[in-house]
Amino acid sequence: MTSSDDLERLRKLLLTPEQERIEAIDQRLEDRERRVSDVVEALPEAVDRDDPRTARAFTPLIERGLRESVRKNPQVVVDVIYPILGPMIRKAVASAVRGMVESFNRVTEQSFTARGLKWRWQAFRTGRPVAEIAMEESLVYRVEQVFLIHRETGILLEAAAQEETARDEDLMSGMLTAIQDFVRDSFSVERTQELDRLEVGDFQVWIERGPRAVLAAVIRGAAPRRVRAVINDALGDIHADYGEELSAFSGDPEPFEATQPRLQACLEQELLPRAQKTPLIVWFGAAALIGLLGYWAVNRWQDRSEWRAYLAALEEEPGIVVVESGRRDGRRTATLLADPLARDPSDLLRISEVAADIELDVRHYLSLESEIAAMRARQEAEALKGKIEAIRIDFASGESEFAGEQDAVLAAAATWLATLKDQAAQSRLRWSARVVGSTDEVGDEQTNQTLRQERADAVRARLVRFGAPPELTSEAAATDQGRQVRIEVALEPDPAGGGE
Amino acid sequence: MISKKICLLGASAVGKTSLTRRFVEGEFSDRYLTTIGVKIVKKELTVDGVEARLILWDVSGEDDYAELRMSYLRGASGYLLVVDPTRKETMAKALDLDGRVREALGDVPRLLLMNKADLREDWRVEAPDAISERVVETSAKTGAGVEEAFNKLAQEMLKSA
Repeated sequence: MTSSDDLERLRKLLLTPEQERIEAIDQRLEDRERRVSDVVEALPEAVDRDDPRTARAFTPLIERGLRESVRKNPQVVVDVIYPILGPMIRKAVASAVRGMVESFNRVTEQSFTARGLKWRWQAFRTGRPVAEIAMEESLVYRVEQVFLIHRETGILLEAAAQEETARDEDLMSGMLTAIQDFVRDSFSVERTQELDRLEVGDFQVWIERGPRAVLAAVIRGAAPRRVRAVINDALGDIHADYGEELSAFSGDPEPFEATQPRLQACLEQELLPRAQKTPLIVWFGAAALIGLLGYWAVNRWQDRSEWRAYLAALEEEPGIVVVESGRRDGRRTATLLADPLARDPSDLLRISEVAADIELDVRHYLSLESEIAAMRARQEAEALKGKIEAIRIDFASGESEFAGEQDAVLAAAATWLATLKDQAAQSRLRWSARVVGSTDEVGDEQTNQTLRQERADAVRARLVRFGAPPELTSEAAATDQGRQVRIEVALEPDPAGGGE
Repeated sequence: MISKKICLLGASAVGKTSLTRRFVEGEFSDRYLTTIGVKIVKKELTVDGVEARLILWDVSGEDDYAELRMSYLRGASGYLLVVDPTRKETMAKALDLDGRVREALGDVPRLLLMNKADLREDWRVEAPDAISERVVETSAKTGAGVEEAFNKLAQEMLKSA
């Protein structure tokens, strides 16, 4: 009894505090409200400990919760994520539209066929060489310069350029940073809105930002959106490779010299594709056509000039007059007046090179042109000469007197001689005529010689009396030619050319 | 070569642009042209045998109409506060700016330039004695003290780098 009482007392003595605490714990465990507030107190701390298990445990919970929430009332989630998605969508749409407009512009620009003419006009207007404008115009785009800029200080880390430029890259780098700061301070409400493109005249500056560095590309022309991706990739690579150097940067750009090849790779360019190659056959066809046309034109021109030369030659020709000339049924025609003494017009044609069909209508006439007149006079003179030389004045044997009935012939001969003198003068011939006396072989030579002279003298005297020119001479023939007298006429061209 | 960004700060018309012009180009003009936004110039110099490139951000002066854009100060390794002692209020402005800038940039090297030293008799204010070792008297007009001021700042910046 005592012992059990004692034991009880001892137990109480020893365990009362524990007992009370157990009771308190019991009470606490029973009390739901208490437990909730305990969890509330401990939970943030547990989550904050960043145990991977926590994230794993929460993930399905959050996913399920989110799904449930969207199913029940999507507006809540929309409201939450709109501030993030809105600007992103706006940006994406804007850039897609801009890309479309750019490519559209390029297409219309390229399909403009009178491009060459435009360059010429621009060259004329600006006084610059056509080649320079062509170069500029046929450039779709070119990344002229790339700057790697330390984001915080705006100090230039490294730059690459297509060619040496006079611009101060340090200052450009600083200014670009200042402009970005200005734009951000002045226009953006949120940090996410940044300046990513500047346009200055023909140039654009595309700016890509990373956490520590900025890459700015100076571009001439309309670069495709792809170029932005190239720049962005380069910036990403640089961040990955030089992350530590970038965060530790204190003004020494030397470690970034190694980025030069990466920057050089951003200096892209694209030239307008050359006009589509014309198939060779078209060139041959065109050449053949041009050849034919040229041949025809030259021929025609030659033909016409030869025809004109022929007509001119006809006009030149003494005794020929071109009355009219023209074309009929593809043939060349001419109506001519031609003196019978003039050259045959077709002779001239043979000399000339006129190839075309020609129809000549030749009518005869008497020309009074001096050459033709001279020719006619010569002809007549020759005729007279023949007539005069055919005359024979007969004598009786031993007589130096001739029968009176021969006077009629002598009168005619005298007239012919006078006419001959006139004709010779007109036709620029030198003329001479001699009366030649002759005998038969009967009788001695001395007597015969005298007789020959006397007979010639007698005839000459009678001729002169009848009106023959006094230049007429008389002489004895060298040999016996019968009892007669004849008249010899000599006509020869007058080298002096003097008529009278 | 080490590049360092430094800012010139102060009330408007105290001579920030004139100081940079005197320092960079060795020139001075009486004409006053207000700086809008920021003007950036560059000067290379050798301090204690180290070649350095100073990128000077000549920030437009703060006045009643324009507040200083703190974003221009980002990444600066040092700054110069410019005071025109002929105008008392410019000293208060400089000290006020100093407080704000230190908050943003931390404890970077800085100097207080008492400009217009050529007009000493017209000075209406003196620099507080407490910061006397951070004060340089300059004259953009005569060039006095200008090189020294920039050199001193560069020296401290390179040392702290």
